[in-house]
Amino acid sequence: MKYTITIDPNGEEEVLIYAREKTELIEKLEMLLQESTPQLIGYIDTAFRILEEDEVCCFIVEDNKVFALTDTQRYQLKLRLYQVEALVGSNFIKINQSAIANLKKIGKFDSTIGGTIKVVFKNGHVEYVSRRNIQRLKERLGLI
Amino acid sequence: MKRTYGKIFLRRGLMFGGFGPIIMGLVYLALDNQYADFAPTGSAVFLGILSTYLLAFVQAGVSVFNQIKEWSTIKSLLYHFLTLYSSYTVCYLVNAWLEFQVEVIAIFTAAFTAIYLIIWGIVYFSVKSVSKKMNKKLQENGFPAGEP
Repeated sequence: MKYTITIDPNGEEEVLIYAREKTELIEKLEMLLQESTPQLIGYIDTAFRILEEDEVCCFIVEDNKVFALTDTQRYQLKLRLYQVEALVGSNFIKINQSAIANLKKIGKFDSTIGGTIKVVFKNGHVEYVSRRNIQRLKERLGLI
Repeated sequence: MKRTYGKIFLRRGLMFGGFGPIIMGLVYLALDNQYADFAPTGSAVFLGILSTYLLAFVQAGVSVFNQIKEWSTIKSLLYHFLTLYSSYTVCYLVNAWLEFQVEVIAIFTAAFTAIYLIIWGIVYFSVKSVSKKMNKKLQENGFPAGEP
């Protein structure tokens, strides 16, 4: 594979890859770029794009994979949930062991018959606040 | 987005199952202090430990019922109640803590139902109040709430 490096102190830093197919080398380069540039890269199959924090309703873990749910899409991330937690801003808060919520994207809080608090996001997704995280959420909202 | 509710049930059960025998041990300790002739047999103690472990296991696990998105509120509540009621009844009958008589079981059922409803009401309304306050704070903090 041919490659070119252009050093330009005034230019915008960018990495472009042109390839016929996604190879192991490209995946390694992706991982390397992701690790060195803290960005939320969301994947749908082989396509990927950089996600803006504001468009994400929540991050969830399912089958040991981390997903970012937006209003209409579901992107897989190649990060662990704790890495996402460290990466996102103060509008985000962990609400249970496998979910981080964007406070700006919460539609409402509701109570369940079992005595837990349900979070209904604006995209319709539902999560539950664990007892372990309820205090932190109350503090964040200024309730205590 | 199918959740593994069975795994959650199992995990919670394993986490809290041990509290059953601990509580039984405390009750036995109190009975031992109160009654001089209190002397359960080894098999009765073993049965007690086993059944109270299973009881606590189920009690911890059933909390997952209210998170099953496919179930309606009424269905979740009904299954939660029936699972707890049946596990308590079986545990008490197996250990002979409850006599196997219609009148006794009827009184137990009435008492269990009343206590269940009172506890449920207290928890439900306190959580409802908290969620209401959280919705208010969400808006006050500039995170406008809205229906999906």
